[in-house]
Amino acid sequence: MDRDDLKMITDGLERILGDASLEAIDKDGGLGAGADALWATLEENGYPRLCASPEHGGFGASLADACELATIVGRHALALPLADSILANGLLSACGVEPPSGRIGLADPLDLAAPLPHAMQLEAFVALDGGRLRCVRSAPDNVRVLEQAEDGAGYVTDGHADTVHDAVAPSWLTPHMFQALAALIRSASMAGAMQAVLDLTLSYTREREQFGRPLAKFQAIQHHLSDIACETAASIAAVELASDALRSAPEPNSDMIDEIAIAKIRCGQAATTVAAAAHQAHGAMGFTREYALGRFTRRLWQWQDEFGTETEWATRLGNTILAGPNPNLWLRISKPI
Amino acid sequence: MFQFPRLDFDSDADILRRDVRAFLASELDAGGFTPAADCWVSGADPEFSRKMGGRGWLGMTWPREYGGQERPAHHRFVVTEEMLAAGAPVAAHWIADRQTGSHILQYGTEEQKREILPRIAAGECFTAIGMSEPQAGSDLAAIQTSATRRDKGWVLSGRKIWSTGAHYSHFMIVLARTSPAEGRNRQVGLSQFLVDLSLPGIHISGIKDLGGTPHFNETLFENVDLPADALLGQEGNGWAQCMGELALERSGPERFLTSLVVLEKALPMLARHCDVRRAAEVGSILANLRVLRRMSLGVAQMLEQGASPATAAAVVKEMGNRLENDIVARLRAMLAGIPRSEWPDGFDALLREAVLHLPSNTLRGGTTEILRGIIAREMGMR
Repeated sequence: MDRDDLKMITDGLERILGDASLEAIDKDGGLGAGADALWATLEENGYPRLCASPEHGGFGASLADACELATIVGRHALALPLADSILANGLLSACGVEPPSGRIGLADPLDLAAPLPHAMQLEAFVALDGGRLRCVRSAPDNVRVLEQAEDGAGYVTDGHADTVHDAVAPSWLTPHMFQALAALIRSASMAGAMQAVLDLTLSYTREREQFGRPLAKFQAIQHHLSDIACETAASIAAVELASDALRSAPEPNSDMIDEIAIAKIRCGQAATTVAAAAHQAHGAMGFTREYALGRFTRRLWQWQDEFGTETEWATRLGNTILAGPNPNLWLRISKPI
Repeated sequence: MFQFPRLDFDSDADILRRDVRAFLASELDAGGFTPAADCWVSGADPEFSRKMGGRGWLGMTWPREYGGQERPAHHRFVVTEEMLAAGAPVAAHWIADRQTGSHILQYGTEEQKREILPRIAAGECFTAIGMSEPQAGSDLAAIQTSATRRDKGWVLSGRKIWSTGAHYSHFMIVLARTSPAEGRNRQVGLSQFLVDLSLPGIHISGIKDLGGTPHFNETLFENVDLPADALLGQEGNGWAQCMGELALERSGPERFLTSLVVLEKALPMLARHCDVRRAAEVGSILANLRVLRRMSLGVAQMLEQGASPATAAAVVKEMGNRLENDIVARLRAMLAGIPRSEWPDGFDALLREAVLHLPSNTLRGGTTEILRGIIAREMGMR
């Protein structure tokens, strides 16, 4: 997809999300009529099928392009599984399956005991095992909700789940690759959420006055904002690096997994720093359910845990360095994409 | 809000990288240098600098008529990052190649360009920075060194401090006051001078750093007579010129690659003792360094396009410096449980050297606090 087409698509998504009552949808856990109406609009405009091939009714966009939409999802703290559905439908289409309509989730193939993100909201989810990609029907009745989690994440309890599609996965779609691609869209959403946190914290500290002047004028607060800006910038750069790696070859390959690992590690680390600094600058106001900051920080904390934490990815990446015959960091740091 | 455009290495850059790696390997084999942390500040070896000059690896971006190679900025990036990663002794020429040369190219007279730039490119002419003073560190606009017009030239008086390499340098760019501040606006009335350090009235005395290396200096200017053309750029434009210099100074790979050589030396030992904790640390460090390098390349790209990305450069330096210190701390943590008898030869000294250089990372070239202030100002907080 060329830059102009992608720009039109991302601008369109910004408009739709800008017009929607996202906070109300959020309060309903992404389950009410508002959520349904928004999802219908997204489907009408083809967003969930961004990465599906044209013969499957999609735009044929690359998974790297999906990152840009996932960033927007994060910037708006969208409660719905748009990024997940884009990836799930892209994978189904790559397996020759026309994606079903509705909200489709992603089951982590490397951590079968992990909660399924958005479980309560899903019509179906995709799962990879034994070299086959399965699309499994899902319904809220069969979900045990994870307490204190965002967006209806939970555990599917029905042992007789209804498989609606079952296709041979292409050889590049290994469980590691599946998890990596899901980790990449989470990284992109984290980068987007951090941009929103930066904006929110800037405007709050400019308006809020204590000791007769805006918080923004205090050096200690400026340093918090500087930390947020730096970590956000690094997160954006990390996602770009991984997207560039994805774009470097027509099919995903295992080298790309390392670049995605770097993105998930870096964004996950940044999320901790950014959330802590933003809450510190906001004081008690940021600790309320009502105020907008929590919509972003709660998701940052959840997203850093989904599809491999930064420490899990770092351990794997570190092992690739330390397990080799001549361990060397510089060759890896300077490796061309 | 902070953009770091993508930079692609061309095929010549790949060839160059192979050449530089081959050169470094043969120098190491021949015992030409011992890898050191912080090599761009404390590893001065004029002979090594001449070898680099002879290979066309200094002043690489400058026009050929001034001794340069007319290469793109990312080729210089390749040479500098490879040198740093190897811990090569590049301190002698570092400042001249990084900022003084570009500054002379931009603001110098034709005669200065013809006389000085080819010598820098040959690795035969070294330079120092003359910004800080005993009373003016972070508050640079508080400098008291003055230059006053006399006859056809200038008289320079004052004292500069922390000038790395002044004792072996041939020139220093000195920031001096040429007219009074206008009320509270102290950034006006400052000018830069290209000072030949062999002139009478200049006294350079070494200052040992925390590790005992006399790498930096105090330089006293006692009524030094300067020729008219010593004025670099425009009279009164010194502050803006200085800030341009700092953009070159802050964003390069030396802001995050100086501790790597220590970790690299420990890596085979860490591999023998690989466990979850050590693997996670190594993976995390790799991720941080690779992303920071990407950002640093982005700034190099902007500089190449003629921008002066002062804030983006501050971001790279701020994060890089913190990472440098973090790498040493994490390395120390990873060593726990490994008997010292297994440490490789020379590792002990290398690690101690890195530890003793830690404080300077977050001080030189603008403290962390100053950098955070720059970033906050960019966001409209100041």
